[in-house]
Amino acid sequence: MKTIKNFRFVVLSLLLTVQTAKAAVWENTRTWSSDEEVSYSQWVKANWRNDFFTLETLPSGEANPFKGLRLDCADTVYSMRIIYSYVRRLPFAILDPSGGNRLITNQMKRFDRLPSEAEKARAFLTMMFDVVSTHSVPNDTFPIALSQTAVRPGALILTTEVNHHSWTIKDILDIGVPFLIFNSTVGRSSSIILQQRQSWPNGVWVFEGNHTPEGNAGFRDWRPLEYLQQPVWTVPGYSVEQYQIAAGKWSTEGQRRLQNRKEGTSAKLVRLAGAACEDLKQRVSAVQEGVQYLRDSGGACMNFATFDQYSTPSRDHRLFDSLADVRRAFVKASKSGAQKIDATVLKQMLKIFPQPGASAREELNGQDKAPIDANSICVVKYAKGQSIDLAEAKRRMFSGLLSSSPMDDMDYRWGNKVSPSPLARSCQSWELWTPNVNEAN
Amino acid sequence: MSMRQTSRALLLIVGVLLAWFTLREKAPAPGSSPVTASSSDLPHLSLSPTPTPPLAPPTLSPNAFITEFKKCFPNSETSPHSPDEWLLQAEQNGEIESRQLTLQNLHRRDSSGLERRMQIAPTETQAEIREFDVDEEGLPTPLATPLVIPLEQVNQVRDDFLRQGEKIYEQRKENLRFKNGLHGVVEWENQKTRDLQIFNGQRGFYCRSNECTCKGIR
Repeated sequence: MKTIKNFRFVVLSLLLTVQTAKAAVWENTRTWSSDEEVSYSQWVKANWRNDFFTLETLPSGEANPFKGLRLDCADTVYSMRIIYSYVRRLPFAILDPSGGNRLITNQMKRFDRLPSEAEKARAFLTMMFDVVSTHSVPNDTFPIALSQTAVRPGALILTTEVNHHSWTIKDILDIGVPFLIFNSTVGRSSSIILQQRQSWPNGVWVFEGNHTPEGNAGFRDWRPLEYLQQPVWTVPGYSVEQYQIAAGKWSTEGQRRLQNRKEGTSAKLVRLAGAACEDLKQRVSAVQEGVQYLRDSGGACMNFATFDQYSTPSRDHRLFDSLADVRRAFVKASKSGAQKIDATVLKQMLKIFPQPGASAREELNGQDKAPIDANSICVVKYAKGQSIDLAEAKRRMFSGLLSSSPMDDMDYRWGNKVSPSPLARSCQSWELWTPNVNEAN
Repeated sequence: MSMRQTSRALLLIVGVLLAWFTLREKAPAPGSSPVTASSSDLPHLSLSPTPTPPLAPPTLSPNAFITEFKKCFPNSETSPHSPDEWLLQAEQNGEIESRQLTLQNLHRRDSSGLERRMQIAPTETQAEIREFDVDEEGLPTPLATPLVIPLEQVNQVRDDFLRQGEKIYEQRKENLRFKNGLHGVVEWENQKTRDLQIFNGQRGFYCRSNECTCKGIR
């Protein structure tokens, strides 16, 4: 009897050992190839949506194990590639961001205790969120040429360390504009819907501080697995050509290169205004988070980390850039004949930018507070009983009335009162941002 | 073969398998051989060579290095034999205008043998600090959420981390800017140049360890 028990124990141990040895987050049943890369790109274009993390099922029909996750910008970039790898049961690996030349792969055993691949995949992705960041993206990707063959759905855009931001590319519209999906995370109570925009990021902001290959900013794509431990310049398709384009012309030159047809004047204005509107809406939730924290903390001064978390200098800069993009497009359209602009769009634009023939500063000096009316676009409620349209948001933004300081309460953050508040003045502040209206010309 | 013999044979197999998996997981990571512990942010360019070998042994002869070097920098008055030597000469000759640390990974081992890692990612005014434990597979396990600190506190945080054990690995990435307009990025691993990219107008000089190539920019 003892012998039989021993035998059972031995067999069980052997089975467990073999099972442990084979355990992975998911078992690979395919390998990456050029065809698989095409399939990846098509999958991203078709399925990578801003509501992806709210879906009950994956496009394949299986339950969505990633439902409910909240992502920052780097999480979003990695999720796009990891989830596709999981769905197709392809190998996934990144270079260990904590140093050395080892890989973190879906063959890791940390999640062996979990019963299903779906649960392991979710745990793996969540673990990755704590490991990766915009700092690790250059290790796992490579810079590509700004061309129709290189820039594809599934690639990404990275900024320099100054602004440490990234976007996934869902698609390149036939007018040469990237359809971008990016982070959901603003704070603890933010939405799980990802953000999206159909416009070029401001090249000056993307390459701020380092418009060279070593800044790592611009368009990038995923390194094939076999190149993760190889020098980046050996990756097929590696190109630093995009750094020869002036940062200020990156978007216009990029659109010219990537477009298959020219965009109509009115359509462009509507699209750019839509992108600015998205930025405005996102500011509402970001400011709400900060104000709520300030109230919950009883108006206590913040330490550096908390201040950094709830301040909005980058976000406000992006909103300014988006508004400046609309203005520049409207000024250009007006110079070439306002009759080309749809009558309704023209009225909406004139409400936001009443003097397209003047400089941005001259226009601002003559611009009064804009009430919400029939020509208002993007009416957004930012606080109880308080709404704002894009015209008034532009006036306040260009006037420097919108505060990015988390030590300011709602009225100061939105420019009903002039920042800094007495509380903000009494506490230490760190990096904040103020607009230079001349940059909107 | 009796039942007893069978079970003994299986036990032996299990033992061998367990030993193999255990030993395999304990194998040191490539490039993680010990280096001299230091509690300060030493300028590696002025350090004497350490016993740590480069990750990839040089496959080009010194002459091959100079050939590639001269292709990219035909007007250079120096004739170095390796990236380390070139950077050291450039530093000593005052040719480097600025060196900006962009990323640093430090690994330490404490007296109980536990490994802990720290990543420092500085920007102009602040730095993001991440700390990791290491699991039995040698993979990082994040500790808490990343800490964002003002730049002036980085040295203190780094010194505190290193003081609690022996430094066993260091990786640094720096952006370099030369007075003559050259610019690029260097990655140091245990105080030896691992990857170097220097851009000179339309050409790029790329090195992994001592293997270098001069290529036109695409």
